[in-house]
Amino acid sequence: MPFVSMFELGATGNGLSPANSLRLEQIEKQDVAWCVSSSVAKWSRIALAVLLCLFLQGISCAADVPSSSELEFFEKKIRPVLVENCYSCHSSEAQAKGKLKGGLFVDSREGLRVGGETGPAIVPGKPESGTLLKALRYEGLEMPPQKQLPAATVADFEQWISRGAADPRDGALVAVRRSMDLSEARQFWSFRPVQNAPAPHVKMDLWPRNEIDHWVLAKLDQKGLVPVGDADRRTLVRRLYFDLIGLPPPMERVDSFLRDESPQAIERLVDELLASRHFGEKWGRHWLDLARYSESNGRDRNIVWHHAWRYRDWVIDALNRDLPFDEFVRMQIAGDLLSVQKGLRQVGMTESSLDEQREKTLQSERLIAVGFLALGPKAFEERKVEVFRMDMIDEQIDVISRSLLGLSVACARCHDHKFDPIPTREYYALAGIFRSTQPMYGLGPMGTKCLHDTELQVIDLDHNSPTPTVEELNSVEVDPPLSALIPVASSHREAIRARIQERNDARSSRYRVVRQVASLKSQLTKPDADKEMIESQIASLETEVKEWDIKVKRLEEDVKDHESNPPLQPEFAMSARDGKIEECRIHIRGDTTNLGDSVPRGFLGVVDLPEVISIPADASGRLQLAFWLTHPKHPLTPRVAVNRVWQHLFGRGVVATPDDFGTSGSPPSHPELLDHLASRFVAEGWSMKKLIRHIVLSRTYRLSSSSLASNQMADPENTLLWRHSPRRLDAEMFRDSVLFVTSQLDPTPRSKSIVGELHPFKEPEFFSWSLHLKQEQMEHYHRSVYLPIVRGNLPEALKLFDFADPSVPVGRRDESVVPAQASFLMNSPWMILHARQLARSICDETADNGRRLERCYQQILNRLPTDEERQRITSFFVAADEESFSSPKKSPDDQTLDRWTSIVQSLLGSIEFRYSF
Amino acid sequence: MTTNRISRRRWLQTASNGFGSIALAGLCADVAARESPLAARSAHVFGMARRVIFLCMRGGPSHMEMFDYKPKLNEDNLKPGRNPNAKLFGSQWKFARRGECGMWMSDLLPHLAKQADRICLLNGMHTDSENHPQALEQMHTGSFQFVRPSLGSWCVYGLGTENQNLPGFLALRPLSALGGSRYYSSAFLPAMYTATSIGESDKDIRNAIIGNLTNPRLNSRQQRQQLDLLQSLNADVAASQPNDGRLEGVIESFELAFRMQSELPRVMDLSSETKETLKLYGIDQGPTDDFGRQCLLARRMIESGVRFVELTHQDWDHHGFVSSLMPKRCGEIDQPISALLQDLAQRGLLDETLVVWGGEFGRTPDDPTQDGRGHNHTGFSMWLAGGGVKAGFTHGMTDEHGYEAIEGRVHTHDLHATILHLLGLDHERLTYRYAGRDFRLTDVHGRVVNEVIA
Repeated sequence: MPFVSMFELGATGNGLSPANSLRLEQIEKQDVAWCVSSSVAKWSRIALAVLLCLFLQGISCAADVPSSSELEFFEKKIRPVLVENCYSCHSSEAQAKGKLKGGLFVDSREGLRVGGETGPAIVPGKPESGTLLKALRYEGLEMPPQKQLPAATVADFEQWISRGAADPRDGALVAVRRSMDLSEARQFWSFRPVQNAPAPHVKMDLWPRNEIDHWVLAKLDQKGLVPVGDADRRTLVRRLYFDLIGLPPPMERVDSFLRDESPQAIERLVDELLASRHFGEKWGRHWLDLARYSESNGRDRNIVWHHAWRYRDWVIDALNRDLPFDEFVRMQIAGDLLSVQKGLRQVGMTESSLDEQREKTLQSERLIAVGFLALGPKAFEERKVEVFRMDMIDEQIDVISRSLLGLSVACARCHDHKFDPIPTREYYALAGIFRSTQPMYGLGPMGTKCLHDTELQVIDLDHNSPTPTVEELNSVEVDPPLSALIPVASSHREAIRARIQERNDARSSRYRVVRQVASLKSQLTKPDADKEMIESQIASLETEVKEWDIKVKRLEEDVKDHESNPPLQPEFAMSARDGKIEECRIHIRGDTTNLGDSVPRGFLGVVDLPEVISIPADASGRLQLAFWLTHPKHPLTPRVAVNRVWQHLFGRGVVATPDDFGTSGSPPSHPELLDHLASRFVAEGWSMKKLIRHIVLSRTYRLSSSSLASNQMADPENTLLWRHSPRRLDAEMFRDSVLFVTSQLDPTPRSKSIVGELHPFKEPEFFSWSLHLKQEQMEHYHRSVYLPIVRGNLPEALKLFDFADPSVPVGRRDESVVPAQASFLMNSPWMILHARQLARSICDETADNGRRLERCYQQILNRLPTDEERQRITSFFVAADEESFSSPKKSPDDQTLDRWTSIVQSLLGSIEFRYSF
Repeated sequence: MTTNRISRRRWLQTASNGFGSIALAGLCADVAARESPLAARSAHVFGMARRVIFLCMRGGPSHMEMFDYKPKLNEDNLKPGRNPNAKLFGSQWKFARRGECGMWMSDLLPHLAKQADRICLLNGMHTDSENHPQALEQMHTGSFQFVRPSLGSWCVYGLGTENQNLPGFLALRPLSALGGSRYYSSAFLPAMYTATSIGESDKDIRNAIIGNLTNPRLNSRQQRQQLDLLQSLNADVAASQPNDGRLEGVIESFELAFRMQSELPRVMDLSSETKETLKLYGIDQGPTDDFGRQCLLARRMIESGVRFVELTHQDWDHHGFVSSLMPKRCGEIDQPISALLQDLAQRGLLDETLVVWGGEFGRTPDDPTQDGRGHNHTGFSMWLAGGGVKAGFTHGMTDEHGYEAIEGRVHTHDLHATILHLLGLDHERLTYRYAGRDFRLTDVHGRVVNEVIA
């Protein structure tokens, strides 16, 4: 990675011949490789650069010659100060020792003028411009850090800079911090354009079913590995069910699939599953992990988000109707702006590309989709508005860049990215877009003077409903129009907020008097106290307390009244809209009080698109960002997206680090395959369903999960895909599967969410003791994707099995194995309850133990027990009898039920049930 | 011979290649331990401490009332303070030199005063945030901007744990409001290193229930039978995937969970303790009961080989009523903590157990109301004991009023570096690679406070 080395030799004068600079480039290029270079290699390159500096020091040629008096001033007043106070951290020598700070060199004229990470240190003639003088004055930066230089010395510097900053140190070649070399950086695999190379020829030409298999087999051939055979059909149907809809198949569907011998049987099954409503519930959840979807703020103030569920439902629905992924992304970044035709023209699209009718019906959806920007956790306790704002922007940049680009752009907030070609400037170019954007998440904590309230988006869902009938129109029940609801609701919100403030102020006033009383009482105990006077003071204050009591009580009731009787509310959504359009200034070291240059809004320079997307002065740039992210030639977005799909189907991405396509991420195991998938994905209209269909119909996907000793030795991680890797079911898949096989699952979507149904004003924050939330989590029989997701209070069955932390984007969940999971499977009332349900229904169905066992196996594992397994259960029964498994007080029926409960529970806790093979 | 034994033996035979290492109850736990992420590991360098007890005082206890003697503050009582709306506010409690070392401590801590010669007092603490959630998070994880692993998680990650029948990191009555769960989370470290919670922040420890630890339906014999059945099913699958370590891990986790069922309640059960011990800790004596139980449990857990135990004591955020609240809070912890130090020392455990006491920050020397104190993150006190720190030693000081640490300054990062160092872990080498970066507890900060190491 050439750009890892952030320093290169540059000629300060013109003494360096092109040949020399070429030589260094060649040295660097030798290190070009896909793999992550060790820091050792990086430092050795830098050390080499420094050596060359020293070697070439003799060659000099001054550009402009300052007068001797100016030079004398420099030598007497400036150079000694620099050497003594600054060189230890800002010189070539410091760099060689690895002690260079901030990328700044003050040991050369050019070094000072080019400056470090925070911009030029000096601008000759302009003392107010560079960072050096500010730092010496301890304005923002404080240099030298140990002790400020005397005022006279600082004045010398000011004078020197004003007079043109004469500096003779120009002959020396210095290692100058360069602006990252983009053309070089773009050579890294993930920044290069997506290639669509023809599939390679393979020896076993009957083996491949589609292009995917050519790429996979070619790689296996290369390493001399032979793929295992295909999975048996029962395994395959289970695999497809889990992977496409997140549920196990019903026994009847397994049977009908096994009977269907036509060559199209698999395609039919796949199409059936892709069309299922459950598809979006499974695949939408993968996106919700990345979108850090939650229905509460988390962090220090766990504010309830009553309307977040709309976003969840929109995501599920978008997956189900196969909304093209590029539009899916654009709606979440700039849904509110997409209807603005002017914006479309700005990015080179014509108005006709979105017709009027569709435009209208999509409007509410888009406003909901852009709620993506508002879902991040926020530090409501933060008293500094700018810190709050920049943290929120940082969170947005982090989520967008990691989920869509596979880059951690947020690293560049405080310094140029350590590994990837993302300079701090570009971070603030993006930050400008979000400074010009106002996410809409609603109110902060009630009852404090909150600095961070926003509005919520009112949405008009009515235009989708059919025209009302005459009866409906005549009915008294008809809702008042939206235009009438909005002002009433908003004035109620204002009123409630004002009353709460008034109540809290009164409480504080009362408390102050109470405190005075307490303090007077303690004075009474002192020997020399004027008891009479103090007692009379106490008496009058106590009267005052009583007056406050009455007032506080009245205000408390007033608040309650306002909370309990809100007017009819319009429909709301979390959303975002443009705010005041402004550029963002560089925040030196990420500090809001230490501002550098203002940066024009823009995108990442390392991404090279065939056309330039520019941001007009009067636009936030969000719309342009949305189109930039989803440009068909974007090297990252399609690759990152297809890699995520691949990972969900194989357990591991072609790039094993799905959120890091930068230089410290893993290189792709099959780069051409990744590009094949990405280019096909874009060509097929960014269709997720087509992509998934393409992948699951490959032979590679259908391989058995059985192991092969020789392959195992050569490729233990199965990186080359010689078999299908077994995977543990996700938390939701496991929970849903237990409900499904015990016939307890309610397959319909749960409308809204318990959070959405909470009183809009009474319970604005969640605490751990929120009991009805816990209860809802226990008694929820819909699919897990509809469980209430509250930060810091996740449903036990999900949290234990590595559900994604809803505060951060998660591209790959953990697959931890901890005793608490085992305890849950063995002892939780939830597991026992459901095991018992199935045991009861099977015992009711037949009295024959052999038949019962078959039913258990069919229902839970879609197969019949083997002879050995039958034998084992018989032994279990014998043992259970001997060990008086059940209390003798119980009826024989209950004892039987107890045993069958244990058998069912064992099957539900077994690896075979909890893993997909 | 019962069928139970037959099935277990048969299962072991099935699992013979590669599965001999399965930890059956009490059979071969040490073999399993070698491969477990919780297996005990050796330290980077020599360290005295092997275990940590962290006594977390939520709210920010006042250093000027407990450990940081400020005669000048009392002298300047009611004079203007640094805060324009506030006046200086002297401490209402007498200070005296305690122990042979002559450590200053106030009358609020009569029991602890007797342990002064065991304590290493840090009077020059400072941290980055004056808000509770941020400061608490930094105290636990080093960071409040990002979700990072807890100190306890790092310790178990570094050293494993000494008892394979118990988790390595236990948190008693963990904080839950205001961002609590993050204080004890392993973040990006493997989930095995997250604290196992015992009890809840708003419930007394005597009512603590550990999730799913007991089977509501079966006794342990019956449970063992059911588990044997389950494990035989698991062994079949694992045998067909001979190289998948995860599946072996699943089998192991069931065994540990099963062992924990008897081990954890045993550790939690105080009935085997003598009356004298219970009395020493102040158990069943009103205000000291809860924290006394926590301290005694901590000793029992440490004794059983748990690596890191965190205890929680709340309500130190005294913006008002210092005069009545300080004696209450101190009364709740004073006797239990000194009992803990005494008990650990008596049992010869103190040398290798590091006890850490402190809150997220301290308090201001001034106040507008003259009976409260604001948040002060620029200077406050914490203390260490045992585990290789200097005993009877006071390090660092704040200015004459107690606003700011001026000498022997110790930042939260420095404290973390020192704790790891005492455990024999180098805070610069204890790293975990995540999202392409090597993370440390101390990030790019931290200095081992060598001055306090014995």
